[in-house]
Order: sequence, then C-alpha cells, then structure tokens
Amino acid sequence: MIWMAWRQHRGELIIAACVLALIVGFLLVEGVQMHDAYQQLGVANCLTDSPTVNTQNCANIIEGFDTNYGWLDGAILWLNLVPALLAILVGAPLVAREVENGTHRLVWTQSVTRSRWIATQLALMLGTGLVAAIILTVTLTWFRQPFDALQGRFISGGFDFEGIVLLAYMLFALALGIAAGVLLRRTILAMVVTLAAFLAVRLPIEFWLRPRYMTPLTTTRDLLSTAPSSFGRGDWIISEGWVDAQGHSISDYQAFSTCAPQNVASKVQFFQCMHAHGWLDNIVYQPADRFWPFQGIESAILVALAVALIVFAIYWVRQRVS
Amino acid sequence: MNTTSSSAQTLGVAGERTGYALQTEGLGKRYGKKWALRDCTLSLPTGKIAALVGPNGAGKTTLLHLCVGLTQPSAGSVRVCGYSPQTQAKAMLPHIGFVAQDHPLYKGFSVAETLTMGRHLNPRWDNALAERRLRALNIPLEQRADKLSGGQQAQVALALALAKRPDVLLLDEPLASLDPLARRDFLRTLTESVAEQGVSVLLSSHNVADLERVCDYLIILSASRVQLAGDIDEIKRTHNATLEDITLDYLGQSAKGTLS
Repeated sequence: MIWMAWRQHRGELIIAACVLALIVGFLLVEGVQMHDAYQQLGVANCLTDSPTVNTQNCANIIEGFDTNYGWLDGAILWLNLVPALLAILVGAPLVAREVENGTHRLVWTQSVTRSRWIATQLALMLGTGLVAAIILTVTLTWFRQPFDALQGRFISGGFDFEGIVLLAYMLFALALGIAAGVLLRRTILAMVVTLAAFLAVRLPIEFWLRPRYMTPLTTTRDLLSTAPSSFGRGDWIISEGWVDAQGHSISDYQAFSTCAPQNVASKVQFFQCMHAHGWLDNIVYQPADRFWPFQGIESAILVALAVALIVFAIYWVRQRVS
Repeated sequence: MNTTSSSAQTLGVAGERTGYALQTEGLGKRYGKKWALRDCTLSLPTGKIAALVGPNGAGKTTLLHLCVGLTQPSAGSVRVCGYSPQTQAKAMLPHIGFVAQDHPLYKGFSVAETLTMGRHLNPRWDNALAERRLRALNIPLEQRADKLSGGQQAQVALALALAKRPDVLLLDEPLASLDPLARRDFLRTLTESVAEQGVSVLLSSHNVADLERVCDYLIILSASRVQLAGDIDEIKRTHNATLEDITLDYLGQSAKGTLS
C-alpha cells in the first residue's frame, strides 16, 4: 500500500519538493545578505536601551535597513498560502481524481480494505505536509531574526512562521483539500473550494479571532513622561489612540485639530500640547510573553478542524463513495 | 480438474458451508426515493459462469457493486464466498476479482507497474500467471496503460483480476466498449482462465447473444428486480426457445431496442 501511494503521488510530491527547495533557496540567499547588512549597519546596537545610543544616527540606520530589506518582511507573508497550495496540488485530487477516472473501483476491490487505503494515503499526505511545514518554519525562523529584533515576532509574519501554527495550518489545509475531494468528486471543483474555504478560515482567524484569544492589556502614558513603560518592543499592538485623564477616548481628529492645527507643530510642541490638555497615549496590546499560549490556542483550533475533516473524509470514503 | 478442487477448498469455511459463490437475500439499494435494485434474492452455485442480463439502468451495476462492497445495501443482505462484503471486507476481498465498467486502470502506470500494484495489494497474487497471460496476448509490459487499445486495457484489467487468484470473478459490462474481435479474444481468455483456475464468474451484459457460448447460468434483471435465474440448459429445456427469445420475453417489448 505504501508503494502504491508513493507511485500514485510521486509526480505531485516531486513538484512540491522542487517548489519548496526554490523557496528555501531564495530565503537562504536573501537571508544571508540581510543578516550581513544587519551586522554591518550595526542595527542591533540601536535596539539596546543604553543611553549612549545616538538616536538620530540610529533612525537613519534603521531606515536604511528597512529601505533595502523591509520588502522581504511583507513578501514572505505570501508563504502563508503554501499550505493551501499543497492542499490543492495533492489533497483535493486524492480521492476526487480516483472517482473521476473510476480507479477507486479498481483499487478498493483489491485485497486492501478501504479503511487501510485511506489511512495510508492520509499518512503519506499529512506526513509530507508536516515535513514541509517544519522545513519552512525552521528556515523562516532563522530568516526573520533581524525583523524579530526590530518588531518582535508577535506580528503577522513572526506569529505565522515562527511557532507551531504553520504545522497546524498545513494539517488543516490538507484535511480540507482531501475532504473537499471526497465530497465533491471533481478535482477542479475541489481545488477551487479548497482555496476559497482555506481563505474563509485563514483570514478571519488572523484579523478577527487572533487578537481576541486573551483579553488584551491596556497601558496609558503621558507623552512627556520618561518613566519606563510596561509596554515594550515585541508586544503586539492591537490598537493605539488618545484618552483623557478619565479614560474617555479622544479622537485623532480632536487631538490633531487641537494640538497640531496647521500640521506644522513639531513633535515636541505636539507632545507638550497633549500633556497640557491631560491627554494620554493609550495602547491596547498583547504582551510578547503570550506568544506561545496564542500559538497553542490557534493550533488547537486548526487541529480540531483538521481532525473533524479527516473523520468526515474517512467516514465518507468508507460509506458513501461507490 | 485438479485446480478446481483446490480452489474450492480455498473458499474457506463460510464458502464450503454455503456451497454458493454468491447469495443475496431481499437485497435492495435505494438512491433517494428511487430503488436501483429491489428485493433481490439469488443463489449462485460455485463453479458457474453466470450472465447477468438486463437493459441499461436495470440495476446490474448496483448489484455488482453491492457484491464487491463498493455500495452499502439499503435493504437485505449479500454474501460472497460466505462473507459479507460490507462487514467482512478484509476477509472477502482476497476471494473476489472485479473488473468495473470501462475496465479502469491507472493511466500513468505501465503494465508492469499495474502488476506491481497487484502484487503489493493482494496476498494471493500470482505474478507469473499475469505475466504469462499478457505475454501470450502480445501486450508489452513496459507500455503505459493509457497507450494501450481498449481491448488491451480490458485484457490487462482481466489479468489483474485473475492474478488475484479469486474464487469469484465479477465483471461489469466487460464487452460493452470492445470491438467484435476484442470481444472474441476477451471471452476466449475468460473461458480459458475459468477452466484453468476453476473460478465462479458473474458477468453483466445488455447483450445476451455474446454470452450464450460462454455462460451456463442466466440471471435476468429488469426494472430493478430479478425476473429469472437458473441454469441455461434447464431454462432452454423448460421454455423450448432460444435464449435470446426467452430473455426478450422476460424483459418485455419495451426492452427490445436495447437488446438487439
């Protein structure tokens, strides 16, 4: 059965391995350059809280680094689609192509039961997906080190690639593709539905659900205060705004029309004006040390969905496809 | 006939107890509100080559799929070699050989790889038998399955089913897509193998004329129900008519068009 599963899918799996190798190769080449630049520009020195840091010089250094390499931080976000693409390539056709070609009637009437057939196919697909996800996670965790130093890893790219959620997304996407193929019995249709359903889960999770896994913390700070804030680099800002001393929200419009009427006020003048009104900077955030609890929660949700889809696929293959 | 008796022993306890290759009891399959097969009670003795005849849509494929466990019955029960295809699939599957309609094969596999698949998926696999058969038919083993002619594909599918060393061979419309020459070759291979391996056969067709020379048992299925089942010789004797006329009688005038 293992020979069979491998022989059937080796074409797709070799294509997937080549694409993965290209991605990893690109990340290694670009990553080495970026890490070198990070070292040579001395970005790390600017990120210490030491009072000897030359702020103006550092602003230039960081801006220079960002101009040359900042695009990579955004570009790698496309790799969030890798699980969906693998699911389209190998997941959706798994059962759908058999049914389209009628070969399910050939293979399910050999001496191997359907349960063992689907179990072996699932093991090969999910195992391959997990290996790919681990390779990507390891590569991207190394790749993003400079970005982590600058912004922490709780923002999108870091959270998506540096924990265990990529593995969970991989399991979910493959389970989704396989289940879609089992239910729809049409390869192309199953591929389209897989991509649509993946995005329909992926986007709301990132932009709506993820900030809500735990109640965020809030910190308010006088803009002229020099006291160290409880909020730090690496924390994930959910929202930022202004409040008065009673905690009532002050709109941006109100703040800027009062304290920067012609858009000409210097930063210091603006801060002084805000201070004079008793208006404070208000930050709602998830602290950096919640990274792993959040990883656990998101992964648990996705693995639960994956398990449900796999159970459905196995049941449907055993009982309903003929 | 030595091979026949040895294969009868391999039927297993259940098969020996029943003495039937195939038994159904009130078997039915419903899709939505429509019955594809209804109230089907049959007993096919071992060693027969049975023709399952009926017009398109009569329920032949449904019956065969129920017998090989591809479909779950809505009513009644079915036993193949004494095993339930649904609940005892693991025990039943090595005893059957099945060629589905349009004799599906993996298009990208070479003939040799198709045989390797058979070897990996079947404990009773007889590779020498399959290779010998395909060589005799001049089917090149290194050829991809989708580059073979329709007749050759049907032969490969049959060789695959026979190399499982089944006790019961079930064929769904094996002749439908073949030209007359390929039909003759296919039936010749089938009869030779049956004689050699002593396997019971159930093959469906909408054309009874093709089967008369090959089959010794007839099951007529029409409008989702079994109309007639029995030994062909006996049927001919009691009805005193040709098989084609008898079949047409049972299927009624409406079916004549599809049975020419």
